[in-house]
Amino acid sequence: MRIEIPKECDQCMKCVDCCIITQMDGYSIASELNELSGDGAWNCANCWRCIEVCPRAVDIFGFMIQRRKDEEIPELIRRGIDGIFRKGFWFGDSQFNEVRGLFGLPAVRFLGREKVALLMADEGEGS
Amino acid sequence: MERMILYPGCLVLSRFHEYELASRQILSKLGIEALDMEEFCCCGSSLVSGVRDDWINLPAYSLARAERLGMDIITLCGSCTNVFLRANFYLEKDPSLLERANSRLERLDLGYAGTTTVRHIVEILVDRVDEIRESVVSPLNFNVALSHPCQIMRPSEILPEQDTLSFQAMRGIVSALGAEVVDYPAETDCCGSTILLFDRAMALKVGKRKLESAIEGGAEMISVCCGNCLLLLDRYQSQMELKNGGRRMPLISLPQLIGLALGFPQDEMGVFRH
Repeated sequence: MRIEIPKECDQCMKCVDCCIITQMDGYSIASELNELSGDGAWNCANCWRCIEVCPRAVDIFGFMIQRRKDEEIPELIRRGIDGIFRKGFWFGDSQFNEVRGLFGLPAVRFLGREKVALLMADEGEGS
Repeated sequence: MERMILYPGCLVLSRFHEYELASRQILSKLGIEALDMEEFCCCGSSLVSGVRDDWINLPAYSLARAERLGMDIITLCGSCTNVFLRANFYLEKDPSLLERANSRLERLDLGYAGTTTVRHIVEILVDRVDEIRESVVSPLNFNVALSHPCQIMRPSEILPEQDTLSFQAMRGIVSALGAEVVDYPAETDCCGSTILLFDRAMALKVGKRKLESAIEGGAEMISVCCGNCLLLLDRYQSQMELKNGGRRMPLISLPQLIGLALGFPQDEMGVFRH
C-alpha cells in the first residue's frame, strides 16, 4: 500500500538538505517525503534535525512510522526484540554480570521473560 | 546525599563499562547517590519508530519504578533519554494512552501517574559546573572536540518546557576543566550511530566525516556523552580508514574527562580502554 505524502508538505527539500544520510548521497525518510526515492523508510539516524527545520511542521515522525509498517523489520532490530522478550535486555550477552564484576560494577537483575510478557502485548498483537 | 536512579541503558551496561564506572564516581563526588533499577528493562528506543505499537509500555515501566521511589532518572545515552522524554510527552498528552499503559503496569503491581523527571547526565553536570570547576586539580591541557548527545536536545516538541539544555552545555563543562574546546564544522551533526542497525556502510561514512572534521579542526581527542556515539566513533573507528596519518582519534566520555581533571587515577577512570 502506498503511503501518501502528508498534505502539509510542499516538498521544499529542507529536510533533505539537513539530513546526514542524504548529505552522504544516501536515501532517507526525507528523500521519501520529497519523492526522490522509495527506499529510505529505515534510513534515519533519529537525530530529528528534519523536524526542527521543517517550515510547515509536517509530522515526519508519523510518516516514517507509517512507511516502516510496509517494510520488513531489519535483522538487527528483530534480534533486539527477541532479547527484550527473552529477559528485558537488547543484547544476548553471555557472562554479562561476570564481566561487569571485573570492572567493579554491580550485577544487573533483569525484568525477565514472564514479566516482560505481562508488560507487552502478545506477539503479533503489538506490531 | 541526593538519590537518583541511574539508567545506563543496554548499550552502556554491556559495552561501555568505563563510561558507567566514571559516571558513578563523578556523581558520587558531586553528592549524588546513584541507585540501580531493581529489575532492569530495556527502554525500547529502537522499537518506537514503527516497530511495535506497544513500545511505550517499556519506558513506562522504568518511569513507574522511579516514580514509586520518588526519584529522578539519570540517563547516559541519548537514545534512552529521547524515548523517556517522548513517553512522558505522549502519556501526558493522551490520557487514554496512559490508561492503557497502566492496565499493563498493573499486572506488575505498578502504576504511573506521569511525574518522573528524566535527566541526561550532561544536564546534571552542567547544573554543577561551578562545583566541578572549583574541584579541578589537574587542568587539562588538550584540544578537545565534542560529540554531543544530540537526541537529548531534539525534537523540541517533546522536551520539557523548562528544558534549557543546548550544545553549549558540554562546551561549558569541558572549558571548566581547562581544556580548549575545538570548533569544527560537523560538531552539531549526529554521529550516525543508529544507522548501524540498518546500513553499516552508511554509518561508517557518516562517522568518518564527523571524525575527520574534528581532526581538521585540530582536535587531539573527542569527548562524548552517549553510548551510541562511543559505539560508532570508538568501536567502529578502525573500519573507517581515517585520514589521520594512520593514527586513531582517541574518544573519552565526559565523566572520564572530568575524573582526570579532578585528580582520579587514570586506571579508576578506565582510560586504559582508549
